[in-house]
Amino acid sequence: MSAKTAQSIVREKKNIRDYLASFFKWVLIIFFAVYTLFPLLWLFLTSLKTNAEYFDNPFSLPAVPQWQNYVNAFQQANLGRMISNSVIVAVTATVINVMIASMLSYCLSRFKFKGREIIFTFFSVGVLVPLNALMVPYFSIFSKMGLVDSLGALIILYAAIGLPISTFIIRGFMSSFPAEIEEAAYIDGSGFYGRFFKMILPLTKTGLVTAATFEFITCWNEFVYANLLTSSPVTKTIQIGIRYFTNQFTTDYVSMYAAIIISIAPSIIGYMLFQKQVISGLTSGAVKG
Amino acid sequence: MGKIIKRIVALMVVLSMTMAIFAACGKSDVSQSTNSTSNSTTGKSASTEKVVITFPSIWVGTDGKAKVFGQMVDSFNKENESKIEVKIEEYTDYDAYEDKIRTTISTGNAPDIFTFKSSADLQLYSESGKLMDLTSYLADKEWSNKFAEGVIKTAQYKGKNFALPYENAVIAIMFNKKLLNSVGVSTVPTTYEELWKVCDALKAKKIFPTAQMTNKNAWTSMLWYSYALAAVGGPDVYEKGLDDPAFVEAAKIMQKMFTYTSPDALGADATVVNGHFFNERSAIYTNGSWILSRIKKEGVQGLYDNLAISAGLGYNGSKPGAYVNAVQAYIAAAKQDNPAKEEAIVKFLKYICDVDRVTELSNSSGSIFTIKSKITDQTEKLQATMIEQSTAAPYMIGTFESAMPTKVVTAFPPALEGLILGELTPEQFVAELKAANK
Repeated sequence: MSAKTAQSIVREKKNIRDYLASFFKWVLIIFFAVYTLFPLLWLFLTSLKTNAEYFDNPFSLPAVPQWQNYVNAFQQANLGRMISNSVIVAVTATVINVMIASMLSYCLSRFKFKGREIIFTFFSVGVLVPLNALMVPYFSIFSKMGLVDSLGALIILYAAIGLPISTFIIRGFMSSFPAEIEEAAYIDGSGFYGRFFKMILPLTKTGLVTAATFEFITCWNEFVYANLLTSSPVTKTIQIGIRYFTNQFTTDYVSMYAAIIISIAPSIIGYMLFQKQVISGLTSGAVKG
Repeated sequence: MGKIIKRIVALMVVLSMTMAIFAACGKSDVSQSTNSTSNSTTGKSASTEKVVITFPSIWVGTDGKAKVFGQMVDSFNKENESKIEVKIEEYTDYDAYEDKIRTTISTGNAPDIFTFKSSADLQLYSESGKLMDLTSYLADKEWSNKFAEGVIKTAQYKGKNFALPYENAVIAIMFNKKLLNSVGVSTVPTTYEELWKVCDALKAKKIFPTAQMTNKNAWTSMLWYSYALAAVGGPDVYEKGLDDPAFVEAAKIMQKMFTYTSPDALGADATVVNGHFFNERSAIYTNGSWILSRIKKEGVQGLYDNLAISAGLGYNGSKPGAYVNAVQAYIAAAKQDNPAKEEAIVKFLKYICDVDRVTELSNSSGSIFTIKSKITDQTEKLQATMIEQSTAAPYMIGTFESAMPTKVVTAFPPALEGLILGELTPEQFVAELKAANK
């Protein structure tokens, strides 16, 4: 009986410990959830206020939701056209970027040749170069190519500037892929292209999705070059649309926040669709190099 | 679900790549019409000899001048149909606009017409040799007489005008009479000594006397510093340079001013400052005439009618009444090889300097221009007061930002933060500015 009581006391203590651990775990989770979601929630609520309400108290709730701000964002800033331009630029640049980066990574990770590490270092160093410092040379190049004020300029530029990071990510995945499997395919008669397209690419899908995610987000959020390389309304992208509500002296904050909410919607939808791949890519990428 | 996602992705990729190909194919139309970034001097269509002038403009979108300036351009295009067309390219982010203009000029692709705001840029661009020399055109008295006395000369570089001074920033000090009355003050102060007393009274009643800022270019605090320099150093304070003791004395005024500000001043931007003043949490404010229309629209009810406009304050016996102003926008044009295009550009520049058109632009936006516009029934009453006071001012000085080299202007906000945090003495604050200038 006494042994039973002692056992039940131990069990009770364990239960209390488990409850406490669970309680602190949930407090921590809720804290980080609020910490992460609060700015988004604030942004959404502010986008439904008037500018006067915003100036009066940035943290108050809107007296009457101003859905008109969203109408303004769409109509005045021509956001529809800009979103379509951004989709074209971001998707095309991402596809080109991942295609080139995967081919490059395949060569750098699976074949041993002189200068391999130098080429990889050369690409990796690209991550460290501040892009704003390259405005003049990039503008000159695209101007000479006659591509200024076209979506083509943005597609080429974004695909190129994303290569260092994409190569870095994809190479890590490809390096960890066992050589024996590829050798077996080689013995079975699979050629260079066959191995690359039918074996390497499908098996490193997670790495490709991770690189594509980073590249897409970069393209979607980039402003400096979008502003530099486009000038007519038909070529402007969403990030320029967001800034439509600012001017030299004043800013229509609430309409700008409505435009921001609209602009982040595709990223959120994209994340929801590829959540599994993105998370597994990010976590497995964490132990590769 | 997986299959559906795959299909959606495949469809998006195919669609976007197809559209990208179409966009690239259709690009020739766009580039032809927006030839600003190419070196071609005319944008001729196949059927006519129309001159196309590109004008990357910031007076678009939600800018106060957007509507009337847009109408001005439209009416010019209509009057010159089939001969000249001015194409506006919209830019709303001013910093990005400045970056773009600098990049295009440095790569030899200056836009046909563009604007800029600082005298440092005036010198830089004039030296580049890539701008149209407007001096001979301004010899035409019919045109030059439309400008305020002496203003054309202020925009000269080595005796030549590579740019026109167009928009003027007239800065006034604004007092909320309702808040002043609530602490028993019936007249606005005219000296800093009187100002400190008013500030003490407001502070005692838990009203922020002023709202200051240190973020970005520390705009309104920079304006307060300009007014302090005017009071201490007089009209030629900038010519004397940073070695003049007035810069240290003005820094002491700023130090004191920050003891009367809202607690969120450090790191605050214009939103915070405007928020306090527009909602009657702070009582004293400074900014340009363009802010009046926003005060009317976004300020609490009755704020606009409760405002008293004032010129600069006196300090230690110096005379009050100075006004801070500066050219806010210069208009320049790219050097042209084609005389027809050069002529078209000058024609457009003359068109936008027409007194009646500029008056309409001024009335609609609250901005003040270097063209002698008229005070009419449509003119905002406070804007009219600013014009009257600044015209009667014993002297005017530029803003610190417009008068100092870019490096000093960039060093101002962090140095101001150091001054406020007590990390720098007023002497060290000025030393920081001097060091930036080296």
